[in-house]
Amino acid sequence: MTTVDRGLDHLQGGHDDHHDVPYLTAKGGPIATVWDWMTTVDHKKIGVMYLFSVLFMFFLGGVAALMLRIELFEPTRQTAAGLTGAAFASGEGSSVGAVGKFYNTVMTMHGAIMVFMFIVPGIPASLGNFFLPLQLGAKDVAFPRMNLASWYVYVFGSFFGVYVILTGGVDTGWTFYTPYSTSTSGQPQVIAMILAVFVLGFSSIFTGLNFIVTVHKLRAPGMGWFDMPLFIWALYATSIIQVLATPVIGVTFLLLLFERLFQIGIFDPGLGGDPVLFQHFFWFYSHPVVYVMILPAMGIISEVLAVHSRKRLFGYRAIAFSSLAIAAVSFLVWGHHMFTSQGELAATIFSALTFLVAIPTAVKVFNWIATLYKGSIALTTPMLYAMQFLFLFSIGGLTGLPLGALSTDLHLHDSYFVVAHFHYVMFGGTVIAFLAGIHHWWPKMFGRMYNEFWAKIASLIVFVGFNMTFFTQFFLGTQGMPRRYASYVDDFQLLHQISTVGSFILAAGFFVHLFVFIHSLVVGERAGQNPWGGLTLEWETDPVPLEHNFRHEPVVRHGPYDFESVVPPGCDEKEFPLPPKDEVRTIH
Amino acid sequence: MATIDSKASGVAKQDPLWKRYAPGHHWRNQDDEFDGAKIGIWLFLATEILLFSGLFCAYAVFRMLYPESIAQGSQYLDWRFGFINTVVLLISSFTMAMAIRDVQLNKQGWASINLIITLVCATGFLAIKFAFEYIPKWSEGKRLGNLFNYPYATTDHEHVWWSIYYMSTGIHATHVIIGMGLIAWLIYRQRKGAYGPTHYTMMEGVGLYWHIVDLVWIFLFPLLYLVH
Amino acid sequence: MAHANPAHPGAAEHADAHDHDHAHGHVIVPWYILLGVLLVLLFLTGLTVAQSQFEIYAAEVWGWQIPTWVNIVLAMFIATIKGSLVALYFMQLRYDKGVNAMLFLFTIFAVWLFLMFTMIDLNGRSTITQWRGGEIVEGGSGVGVNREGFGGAPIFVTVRENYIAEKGLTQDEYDKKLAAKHEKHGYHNDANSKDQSRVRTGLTPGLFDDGPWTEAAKSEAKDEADH
Repeated sequence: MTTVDRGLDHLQGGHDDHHDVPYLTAKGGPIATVWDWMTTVDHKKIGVMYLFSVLFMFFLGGVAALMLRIELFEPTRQTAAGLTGAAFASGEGSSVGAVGKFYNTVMTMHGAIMVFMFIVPGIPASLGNFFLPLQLGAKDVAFPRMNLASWYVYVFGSFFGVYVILTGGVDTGWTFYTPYSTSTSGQPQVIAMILAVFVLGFSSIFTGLNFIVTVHKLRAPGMGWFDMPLFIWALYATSIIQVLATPVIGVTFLLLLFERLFQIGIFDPGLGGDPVLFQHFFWFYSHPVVYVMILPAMGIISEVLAVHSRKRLFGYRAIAFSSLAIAAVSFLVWGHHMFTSQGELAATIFSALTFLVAIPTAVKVFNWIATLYKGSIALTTPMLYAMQFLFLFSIGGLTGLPLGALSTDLHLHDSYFVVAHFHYVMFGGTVIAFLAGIHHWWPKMFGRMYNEFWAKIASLIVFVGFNMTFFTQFFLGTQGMPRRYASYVDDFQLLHQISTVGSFILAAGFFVHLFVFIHSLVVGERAGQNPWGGLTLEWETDPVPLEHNFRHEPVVRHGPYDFESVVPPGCDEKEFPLPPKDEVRTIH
Repeated sequence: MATIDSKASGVAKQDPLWKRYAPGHHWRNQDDEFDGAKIGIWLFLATEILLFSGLFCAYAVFRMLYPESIAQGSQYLDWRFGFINTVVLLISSFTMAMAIRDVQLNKQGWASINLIITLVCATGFLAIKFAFEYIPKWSEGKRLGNLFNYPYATTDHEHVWWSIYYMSTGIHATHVIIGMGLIAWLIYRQRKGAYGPTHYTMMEGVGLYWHIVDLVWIFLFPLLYLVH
Repeated sequence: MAHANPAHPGAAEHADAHDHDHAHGHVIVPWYILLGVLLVLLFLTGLTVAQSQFEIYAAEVWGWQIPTWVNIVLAMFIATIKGSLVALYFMQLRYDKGVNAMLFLFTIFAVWLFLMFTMIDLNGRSTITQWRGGEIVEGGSGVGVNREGFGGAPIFVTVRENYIAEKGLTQDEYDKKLAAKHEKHGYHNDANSKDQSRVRTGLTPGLFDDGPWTEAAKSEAKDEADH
């Protein structure tokens, strides 16, 4: 137990009473409420605004994905033209023709939106923003105004993205490799998209910086580093990556902007520049950033598995340190995206280093499985998703190994195998964990329960649809279907058709989820303070958290996962009975 | 942030702003807030260093790819202007550190003087940069990339050299301009009495930022002007 | 929050009292240390200029060809010392909480990784194995293919030709001007042919001596090597 200077609170004459209302309480009329939300510095409101913003971008990116799948239903390029009319993106003067250019555009928009506007800010900025201060027992993040600025910067950057979509899109590919990004597409669109990524980097840095300082300085009294929930550890590791990697994409895209505007010849091979240098720059950011995407997801899974199996997490410190290890290793492996473009010496080194990632990742997976062993597992929606995560993420992780090995990658490079691997990790990992987290924390965020039955149905639909969409792509990849192509040889058609049908099942699952959420918000049953019996601090506050989070500054008296010895706050012992004392064997 | 009218209220002796500063509601005390802000600023400086590392990386790569163009390019720069600019920036860094020290000791007059010297030095840096480097070179046709138009070039990739030169010094100069704005703001707030021994977070932050601008130039100067 | 700082209720009365007004626990660096650091920094700036000038001087007067790496290593060494001084004293890392110093070192480490791996790759890229085929010119040839009216010649050649045509100069006149322009450039790399950029092609020696090649491919490679 640490002693902490309570500072000025007790001298300032008690609490401000008007802050002891739930944060969702409306302030006056609709205009006043909107103004209140737009100018709020409350991390919870910003988290909710982020949640809806990123989900909107997820919708846009998802529509683009469905358009790709429709086009790929048939081996030749025709469907998309019939569907949309070639007017959307004129292919005049383009070597790939109107439909080809259209396909490239939709593909780029899918990638860029999903990566830069949905999945990178996704979990940290929405659930992280909401729950990091709550789990730490803090009143807010360290720099609340910067937090609001982060959201505005995000909206500003995404606005560029939407502008690009409305004016015809870009077809550079989401990686903006030169010379694609210096020679294809319309000038204003490419510049707008470059600016979008540049600007979004700031929002990412703001969030990361805020989280690190909050974790360092605003932990509740009694909370040491190893009393923090593992979600916080994951967000801390994420934030380190965000702060250290994002500035590099900043300077990359600044140089790219000048390359596009003035042809400065640093990246453009036509002027003596070095396009491989661009790839180094880009992946120095973009490889660490895939861990920005997956680490918070791993944090959510740690929380959900422990709470819903009512069991102390196996290997707390191993999971905490493996998060930091992943953050560290993430900076050593970017070259495995460039096996076919860089020199062979570097490729060999990067290939060897890539396997290091497997170690901390496997540590996590084994610990999670050990946590489930002999737990009292409740098959709630979050738990279903967490188990899906274990299954899908393992497939995604293990298929990463042949891609990290230099020899097999030369065969699998730029094939659908890579696409499938990436989606198993990013969709089967991050998005599934995001859904687990949303369902786990939904009662705390909005104070209402959702319809458990339909949520479970939806999660099963998502599971089936996802596997139909992407498992087929492993086979396509090994058989030689290259990625990014609008047309293909007839032999691949059956697998492509299964994949397309699967993608629509997946979309249907999301629509069921959407209705479950809307139903919950409108007529959902009021949630209690602690519906799942969690022990982390966010369950100690009111059903809907107060404006300043807690009625009194919480003092940490037990670990986040002491399920065998602590009655959860706000619950009675009948609901969550403790095991008899002599049966308790704590394993750390 | 509080607004005061110390002159208007002749009733009681008003404290200067810095004494009346209270930390944000979510901080336990002022020291915690200061420490937190400082970690935040250091994290921001980390992003700055990595931003410039991209430019250093580009420099190193093209130095290895086209050594004679880079060597020839650095011949076009006059080391004397670089030298003067280094001295100017070092002095401004020193006066910035002194200004913080003065504020810590509540020597407001000296702090003001030191801040003004810092601002003057920053202006001098930019003036030298533009008057003796950017404008003459640009008008001679020594421009970046495809805008290159200098007829007396002798090596293949001089336009790449100029790209690196303009991009790295240009981004650095942008930081100097932003720093000047921040220092001007400091001078304004300092005269209002916003900073004193117990509260000078903003001074500390801008100071650290200014030192990192100096630090980057310490490396840019030999790389661009002296190494060949 | 305009009210008086409640932690110091008596602060208003004791405006000059040191026990209330000092910065809590913050180090105040003595002025002579700051000044001393400034003087050392200025001295090192002079030194780094001197060492680069000495190289030119030695080449011109004594005919010494000091290898290029000496210059860059010395310059970077001095710059590192200067940077450390700024970080330790002006930025007060020496007196500060450990977390900030750790953060700074971590950042430097990330920069080092970034530069090192990119450099490793650059070195390795010059090794191009036969099976990738074709002639690969590393880094392009500086040809202005993207610029209007530049018919495949390097940019600087075209700029020069345009200039000569525009001014109506003869080649001699131009050469004189050129020499005048470069007169003050004391040091040229010409002597150091190792540093010239060059077209790098060819194969790693011995890599495919017993490779699974067809006879035709082997003889083809042999022919190429002979030329």
